[in-house]
Amino acid sequence: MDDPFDVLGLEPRYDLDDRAMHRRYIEQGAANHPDRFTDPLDQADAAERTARLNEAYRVLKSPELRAEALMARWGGSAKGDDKSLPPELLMEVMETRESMEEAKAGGNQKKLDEIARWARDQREEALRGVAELLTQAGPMPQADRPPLLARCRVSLNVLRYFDRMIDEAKG
Amino acid sequence: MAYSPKVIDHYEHPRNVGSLAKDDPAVGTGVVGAPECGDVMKLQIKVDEKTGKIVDAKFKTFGCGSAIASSSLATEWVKGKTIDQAMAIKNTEIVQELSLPPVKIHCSVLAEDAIKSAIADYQKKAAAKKTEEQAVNA
Repeated sequence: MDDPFDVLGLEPRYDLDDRAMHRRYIEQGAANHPDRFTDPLDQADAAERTARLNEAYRVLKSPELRAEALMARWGGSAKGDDKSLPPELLMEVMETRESMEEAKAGGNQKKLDEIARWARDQREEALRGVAELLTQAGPMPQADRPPLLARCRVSLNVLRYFDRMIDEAKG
Repeated sequence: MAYSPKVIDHYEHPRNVGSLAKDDPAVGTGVVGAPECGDVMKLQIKVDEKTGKIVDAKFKTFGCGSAIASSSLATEWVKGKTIDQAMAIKNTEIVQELSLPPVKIHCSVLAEDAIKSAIADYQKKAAAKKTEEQAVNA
């Protein structure tokens, strides 16, 4: 994947200025619009650049994907390579999924909603941790980043487990 | 993407779904997960202390069809095996048996990890029991 910060020409940091990012996206999008070109080869190139811009913008708008992009850029481990989680989290996820299964079988939507709310809170808390760590890591020299990135990996790793619970509660 | 007939069979008729008593010293419990997709898998084994063989196995998986099928197959395979034989089960064998496509290989890895983690838990308990007995006999 192309580095989304490079594609949009933005300084790599977690706490991006949303409006500045949007402005850059619109400017770059206008400059690279395929309709501005007449030669078919130029048009094809422009279409490819536009697709890259769209993808970069999609990634940077999402806090989770933006964090993953910074992890990749700063040499943090990838999701598939480091599955570290907070201790006991898997057991807790397993037990929660079991109670959800029970609640579902018993038609207990109230319980499911309650669990979904809890899962959303947990997810937000994890993302707050990610934001804090990456904002802190940003101005550091590369050599000092690894311990923060390792902790960030743990916080990013929990997200999908809570997403699944939120999906499951919807039925 | 189409699931292979064997995956569908395990998904529709999962073998050995359920739980064994977690606190039973003869039971080893492994819980593993995949952060990419949020799947969680619990696999438990019950070991006969005298023969060292796995006499029962149960699983519970919250995940896709391939993850369910992989863990269902894993419980079938470990039953009747010794700890060492169960330890030797490779995810590639699960891939082959279930004809899993490349994007689902991680499901078989999860099942292999679950077996190993259940065995590790059992061995930890067995070692603790042994130390306790030695302390009593001393």
